[in-house]
Amino acid sequence: MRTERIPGLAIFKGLAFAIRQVFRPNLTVRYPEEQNPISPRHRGRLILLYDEAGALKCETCFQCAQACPIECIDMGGVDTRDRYHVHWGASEQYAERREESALRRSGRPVPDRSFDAYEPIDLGPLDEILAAGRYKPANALAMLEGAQGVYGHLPVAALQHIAHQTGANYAELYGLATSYPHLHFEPPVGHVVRVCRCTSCTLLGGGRVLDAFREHLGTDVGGVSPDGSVRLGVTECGGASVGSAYVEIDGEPLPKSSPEDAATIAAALRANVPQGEAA
Amino acid sequence: MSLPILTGAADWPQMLLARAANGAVADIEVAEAKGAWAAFKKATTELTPEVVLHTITESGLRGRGGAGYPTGSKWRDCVAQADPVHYVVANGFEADPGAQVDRVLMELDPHAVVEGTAIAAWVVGAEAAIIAVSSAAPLAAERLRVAVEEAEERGYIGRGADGRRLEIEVREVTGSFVVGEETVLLRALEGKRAQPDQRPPYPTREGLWGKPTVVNNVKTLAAVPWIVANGAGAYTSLGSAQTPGTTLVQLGGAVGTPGIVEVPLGATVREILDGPGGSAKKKFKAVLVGGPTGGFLPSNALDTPFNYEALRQAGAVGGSGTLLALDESACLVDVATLMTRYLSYSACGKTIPCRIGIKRLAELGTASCSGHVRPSDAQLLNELATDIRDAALCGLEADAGNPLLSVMRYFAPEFEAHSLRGECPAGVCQPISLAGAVSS
Amino acid sequence: MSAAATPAPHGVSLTGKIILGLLAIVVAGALGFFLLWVTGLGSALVEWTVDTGEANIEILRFVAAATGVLLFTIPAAFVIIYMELKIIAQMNMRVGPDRTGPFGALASLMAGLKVLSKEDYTPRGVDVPVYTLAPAVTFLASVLTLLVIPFAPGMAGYYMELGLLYFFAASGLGVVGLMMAGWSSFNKYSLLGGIRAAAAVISYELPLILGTFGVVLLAGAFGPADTSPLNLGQIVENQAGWVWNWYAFQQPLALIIFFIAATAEAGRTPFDYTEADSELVAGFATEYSGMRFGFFFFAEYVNVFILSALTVTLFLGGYHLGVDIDPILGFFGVTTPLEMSSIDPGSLGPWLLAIPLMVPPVLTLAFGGLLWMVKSGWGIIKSLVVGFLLANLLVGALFTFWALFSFEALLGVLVFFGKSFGLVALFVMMRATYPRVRIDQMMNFAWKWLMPAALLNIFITAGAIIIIKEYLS
Repeated sequence: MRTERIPGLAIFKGLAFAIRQVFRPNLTVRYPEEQNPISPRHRGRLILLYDEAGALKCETCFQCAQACPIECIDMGGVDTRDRYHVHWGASEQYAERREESALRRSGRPVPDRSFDAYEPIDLGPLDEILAAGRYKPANALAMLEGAQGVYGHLPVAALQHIAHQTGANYAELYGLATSYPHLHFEPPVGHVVRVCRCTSCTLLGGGRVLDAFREHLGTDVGGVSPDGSVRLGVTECGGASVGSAYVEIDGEPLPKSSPEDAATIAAALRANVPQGEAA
Repeated sequence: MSLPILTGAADWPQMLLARAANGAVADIEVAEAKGAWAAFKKATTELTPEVVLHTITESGLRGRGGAGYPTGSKWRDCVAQADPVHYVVANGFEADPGAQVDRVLMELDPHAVVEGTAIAAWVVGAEAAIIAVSSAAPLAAERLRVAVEEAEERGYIGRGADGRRLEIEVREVTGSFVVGEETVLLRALEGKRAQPDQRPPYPTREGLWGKPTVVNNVKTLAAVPWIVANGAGAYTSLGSAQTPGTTLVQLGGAVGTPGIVEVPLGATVREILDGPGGSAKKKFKAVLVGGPTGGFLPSNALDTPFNYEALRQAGAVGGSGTLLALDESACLVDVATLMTRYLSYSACGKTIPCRIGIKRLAELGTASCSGHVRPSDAQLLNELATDIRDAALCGLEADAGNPLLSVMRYFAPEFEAHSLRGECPAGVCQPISLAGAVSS
Repeated sequence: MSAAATPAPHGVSLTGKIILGLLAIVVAGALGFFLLWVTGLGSALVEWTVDTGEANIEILRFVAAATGVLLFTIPAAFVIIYMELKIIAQMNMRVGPDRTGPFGALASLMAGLKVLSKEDYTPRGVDVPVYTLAPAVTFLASVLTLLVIPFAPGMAGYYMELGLLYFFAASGLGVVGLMMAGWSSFNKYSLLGGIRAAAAVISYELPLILGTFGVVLLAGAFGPADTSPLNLGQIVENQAGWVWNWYAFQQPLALIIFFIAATAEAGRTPFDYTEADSELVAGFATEYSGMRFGFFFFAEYVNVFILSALTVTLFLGGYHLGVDIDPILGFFGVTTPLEMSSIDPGSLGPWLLAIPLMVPPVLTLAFGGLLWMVKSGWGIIKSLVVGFLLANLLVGALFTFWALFSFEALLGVLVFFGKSFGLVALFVMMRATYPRVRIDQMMNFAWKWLMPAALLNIFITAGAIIIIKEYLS
């Protein structure tokens, strides 16, 4: 090579090469003004997947949120467990977010409903509960039950306050709360109709009763009727069903349930709408 | 509403429900007149914990929670742990939503349960015991609390009892199906998210709060006083040779007389249904044995003896001790799918085969009911069920594939009618949607 | 989200504190001045100061020069650090610091502040006086040499007859600083690093000094006879006029030797034995942190600057433009020396009138256009306005400099700094390009190649001088 025959030439060639690089375009991506394009298969972004049947694979077991070290996962949307919402995921799937989804696609600004829950509440009563639990995360379940006793449900602000005061992760508390069916995140509004889905009740026609309620209340399990007065949920009868499926209205079991009665019951509940507490 | 207690066959022993034959014995006076707390007094005054432990082991008492693990071995394992703090947890949670066997036992004879817990705690060296009751059984919890208070007044438990401390607490636990499993129950009692833990280490090594814990079903513990009072030999003479003792079985569905009956292990399913069930003349299509994770037995398999091994051989489980009889008006694929769907809802989500696999099973079931099956689905079902059994951390969801598998095994024609021809012989399923069933 | 309301802030805010402090100072100062004036002490004090000052004008001048030089080094170091970051980044097809300050200009300042804010500790077992003084000695070695370098005609810190000798003597102090640092750290690896560094520096001092002998010989032979050839100011004057007067063309080998030796002296890649992070952590400076390390760091960059300044002085014509500007100025109808007062607008030719008219818009457009291109968020109007302001600032600074000193000074300073920083940029580009040599290869090169080459250069130069003087003139 020529560079080896002439001593010192390599030095200048090297320098010339390096100086030439100055005039080539920079490779730096000035984040956040510029961003690298992300491929659709990119695995760094959390999305929920669908299976070949078109159903959402997410089981909403909330383990991801509990495990997330930076607590960035929250859930919203209707789910069969009647308890909480799945926020991220294709909102088109859930009727309640269809308008929001359409609004997003139109390019207009959309308020993020995930912040709706962060309404300020009076955190005073929580301090007694926290003191009773001695501010220990080990007593979290008792503290959450206490909080639900005070507020009727578990507002996000309450959970955050408990998390701050006890040192537990917000996600841990949320994960704990979602694992127990008696803890709710929605304020108790109106009446609540609960139907048992155990084998015995189903064999006694529980499925048809539930379908009838769904039709007449106009909502699915876990949801609220369009006028916001009646909620539909599930319960477990514990073997208490005899003759017909076990149905609870506001915590009181019906002596006998049938699909035909569902219409009248639904109408009666909608007409009479005091703000009742959940069962 | 509680189911009535049925009388069994003449030669069936009455042990668990012996005292409560004529109604609940909640009051301690009445209970003691009928023999309650005698065994505890005898054990604590005359015998040593090792002797009682030996007795229990000799008797062959096995756990009635569904797994059938020898109780004596479990207690011995706990005693052998070096940690001085032990706990005893009585599992009265009763996961099966349609079963009320444990609840009825606790309502009728709470002292049996409390005494059994006290003896267990004394043998194992525990100073604190918890009786876990589902929050859907407030009457049982109330009666148990009263029983505990009365026993404390008498000095059997509480401080200063026999020089040792023994505190029994009745705790109401709210949760879903999986809370009935021992490690999940322990986590729920600790106030954590209700999920199972890898075993080993078993709760006898690391249980409640990390300490050695004995978790027994209330039916198991209710048998302990009787064994201590009457000896191991008397117990082994009940029931069959390999599986001594009795258990409580709930009959429901298309039987003549639904109710709860005490059954010696070894009696056949047919005997149970015909005798106390009052279904001697009836023709069943299938019997669901063991609740949501159980299996269907066809009418020609009803001679299976009601014990753990035989039932598991047949594809069912002892489980919660429910026998649900189904006649021709029920579609088995539909019922199996319903139960698989229930299990899918109840899955805690810790392992992927449970979380997604049971959901897939439910989808397969739904697809079968609506006739949208593919040829490979049968094999897929088998594989899924095997994977779930291998990977599940809790014994409850491990058997999630049982309903569908047993339908495929015993009722293949019905299954094929759904999958290949889109017909439902029982007229329950319609090709488009499931009628009379819960939709998701 | 907390239930308790944040307590209302009380106490004085930061702005308040600053204002109060300034106010206090102003009031105290005013009071003091008033008192001094009233009592007559003030005028007596002033008289005494002026008298002593005039008596010791030389010392005062020296002190002023030294202070000026000291004050100059720190900003210079910051600028060089910034250059290094940016140039190396551009050579790596990166952007370099971009966010702190416009175009990342404050990045080096922030680095300096960071170094200043670190904990100042003395490890156990070190030789405390030596440990404390080592950075000072190293820094001093670099700074002292700046005293003799002429920045512009009539502008050097101090004109010494033995300027070059003083330069090398002062920079030799750096070795002492290195050894002090290596020895006093209670660390055998620091000691090894210090010894290695000292060995390398000493080895390359010989080629460095021998390289300059050629220039000294030429200056002595062909320069004016009354000044010492070691006078740096005189060496620069010898290179006045057109670019071929520069010693670089008369001593090319010496330039190469000197430059290579200077790279090694400054501890720059490919000879950066002291910064060989992968080999000896920080070498002799392992046990130093915070501002102590900052001193070493600054010393190195000042060293880079002074060595390139020396190269420029000795070989590249110093502050001379390389172009004889007298004819050019004559074309415009102006003569040197160009005083501000000597420019009579009435006598200026049309060309010279046009320049002041053209310069502002051109500068504005230049600055504005540059800003508009690079600051993508700014519109053209905003860029032009800021460009106008910057142009005014620049022109104002230049004219102030001209008014305070002279036109030649202004030109000289600009030229000198341009050349020096150009060489500094060359140092930086070499850092980005070349791999590090092994220590034995380095020593090999110094003793077996550079020194003989330098000696050869002296031999040839001396021979050429004799030939020219004896036979050609």
